[in-house]
Amino acid sequence: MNLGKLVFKLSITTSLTIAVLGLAVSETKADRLAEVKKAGILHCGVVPGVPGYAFPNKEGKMVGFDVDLCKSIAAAVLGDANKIKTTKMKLPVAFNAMKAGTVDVVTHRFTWTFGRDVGQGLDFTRVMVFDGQGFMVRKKLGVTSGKQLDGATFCLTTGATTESNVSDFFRTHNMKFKQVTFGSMGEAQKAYDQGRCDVFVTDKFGLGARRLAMTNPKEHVILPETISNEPISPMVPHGDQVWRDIVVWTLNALIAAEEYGITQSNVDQMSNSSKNPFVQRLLGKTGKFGGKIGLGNQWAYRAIKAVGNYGEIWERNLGKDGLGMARGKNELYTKGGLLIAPPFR
Amino acid sequence: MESLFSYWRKGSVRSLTYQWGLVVAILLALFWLFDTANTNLDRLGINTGFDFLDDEAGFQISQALFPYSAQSTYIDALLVTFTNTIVLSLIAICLATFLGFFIALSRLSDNMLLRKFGDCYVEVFRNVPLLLQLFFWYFAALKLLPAKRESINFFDIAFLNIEGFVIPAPILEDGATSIVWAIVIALALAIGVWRWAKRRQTRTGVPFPSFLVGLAIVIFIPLLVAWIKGFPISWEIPKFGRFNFEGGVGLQPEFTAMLFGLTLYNGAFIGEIIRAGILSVHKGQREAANSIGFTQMQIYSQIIVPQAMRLIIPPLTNQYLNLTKSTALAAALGYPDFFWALSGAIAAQTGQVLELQAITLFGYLGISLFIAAIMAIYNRATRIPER
Repeated sequence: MNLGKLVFKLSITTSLTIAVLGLAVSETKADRLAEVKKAGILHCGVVPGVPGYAFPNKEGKMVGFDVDLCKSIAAAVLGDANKIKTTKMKLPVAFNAMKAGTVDVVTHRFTWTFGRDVGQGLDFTRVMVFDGQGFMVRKKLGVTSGKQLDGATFCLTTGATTESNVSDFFRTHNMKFKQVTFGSMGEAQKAYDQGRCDVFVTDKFGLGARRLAMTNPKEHVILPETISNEPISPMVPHGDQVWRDIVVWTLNALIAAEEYGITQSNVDQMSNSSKNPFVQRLLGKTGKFGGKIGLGNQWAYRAIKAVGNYGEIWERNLGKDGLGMARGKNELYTKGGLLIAPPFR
Repeated sequence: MESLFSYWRKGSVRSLTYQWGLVVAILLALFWLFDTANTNLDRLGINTGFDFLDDEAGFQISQALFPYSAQSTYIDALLVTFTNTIVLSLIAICLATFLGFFIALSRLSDNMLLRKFGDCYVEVFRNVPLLLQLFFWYFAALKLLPAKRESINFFDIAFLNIEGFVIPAPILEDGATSIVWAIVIALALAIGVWRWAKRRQTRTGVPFPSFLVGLAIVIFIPLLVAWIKGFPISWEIPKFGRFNFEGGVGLQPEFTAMLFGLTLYNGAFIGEIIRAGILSVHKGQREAANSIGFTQMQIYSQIIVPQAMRLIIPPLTNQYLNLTKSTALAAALGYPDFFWALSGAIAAQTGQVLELQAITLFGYLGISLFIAAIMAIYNRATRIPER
């Protein structure tokens, strides 16, 4: 092959790249609310197959925490929680989808970080789960703390904050480690289960679910250390403030509902009889809050009616009816947790 | 006007106008796409550019052929993983070619058992998706390998367990470079002997065992130099630490499984390509060679293979390129290849997906064009001269 041919091939490929890049960043929708209403369906990005967050149930329908958040927004905007289309997304895909504007909201459990929020064409909305990463090891190693892991091998997945967290933790404590990084959680978990690695790392809430999936769950322990702070928040495309307000305040409504004691089953009764002015405004009895974000006064009522309040969503998917995890930091601020909804006034 | 019209009627002028018109239209279209992309990126407030490559990577890589740590930059990470992709591709290409050759010979063999084995092999390995095969080999390997504390011990210097095969690492001391030079010189000498023998055989017909002589040169000259220098190499023997062996060089199961899977899968395709090439040589030639007393080995090496090559090379090049690109599946098995770095960790940390996609594209393009160029040179060197 001579030089001329090489240059020719390179230039052809360059042109194609530019063309593809151009198409990837197509015109994003200026008025997303109108677009969603017109399409009559809400497009959500969710985590690919993690029990408790987004997983097909026996009937093959997607259920989980991610999915319920998506449903609440669909109920608020479209009046029907079933008018959703969930797409499983890994991180690079989710970023691209946000840039291209092909999804309306990503409820996938992504950690809110500076690098992801700024200059990426997307906005985080509000923290829905406070998590942190931790280690799981085999009991027979006799390890009781992460600080005893000098020289250990880690199984983890790429495309998350995990890699840098582990590396920072070990640098802080001046220890060495080896890592095997897999493309997806399933393989990382399987390799750890077969003994390829000494330690398995991921978000602690995920770790609980993963331990149950091991060949013999009793052989493994989760170490006490939490090596990172992982505030997990849904994301929306950058640039449409109206749409961002809708998502943020629908999520706020779910948390406020728990605080005021509004549940899926008593929402009608509360709406008719509650004397609490916050409840009256939230459920659209008084005030014009719904109109101000372009959804009609019963938007929050519809969201709560569809999926219940935050506590109910938690228990159904992650709590006692789901993965069996304790609320911990994810309690309301009134019960010593970190969850707080700005007031509806 | 009349003259302009007659000018237009000239075929060459007309076709040139069309061709350049098309070029200009394509360039305009590209410019428009590029401009749209830029405007939209600006409007969305997305950072663009390659400045992030100088930042600290902050993640480890399980197989690095040159020094790399979490404090290295993204560029270092890209170089390390790029080398990993090249190493995996080249070794797999060599092994798959050898395997393919034997598969081809067994499918053409007169022995029915061997022939049926070849048939089965090809049908099984080329019809099962590669990713499935890779997972199979990886998790089969993990199942078979002993646990860390039950390693198989080879004379207290090499150990095999689920983290792989560790052997002592050579540590070069003063004077070790002279051995490297000795190897280079010995290789050059061996090539010289081979060329001389070939020329002499063409001229006089007298054969010379150039392979054996060359092998002896390559083995003994470096050994001799090492002996004179007093063997300036020491060995770092792996020792069991708290969790696993430390020190030494290891061959990890991820790499081994990738190599195994790629070799077996591509071996089936290459076998078919080589078989087609061999069948393209008219059987009369084989009979003629037989009749003048050539051995089977000579028939293949002197008569059939040189002629088959010109048919084998083009599809073989395709297969090599396929193999190289399919190394990108390594991300699934945790082998840190080029695609692993680009699609995973770096994209997740920096979010510069468009830039990373461009780097991926040019990285693989570079490797592919390199392989294609080598094959083209080889093709030119082996083609039958036409007059």
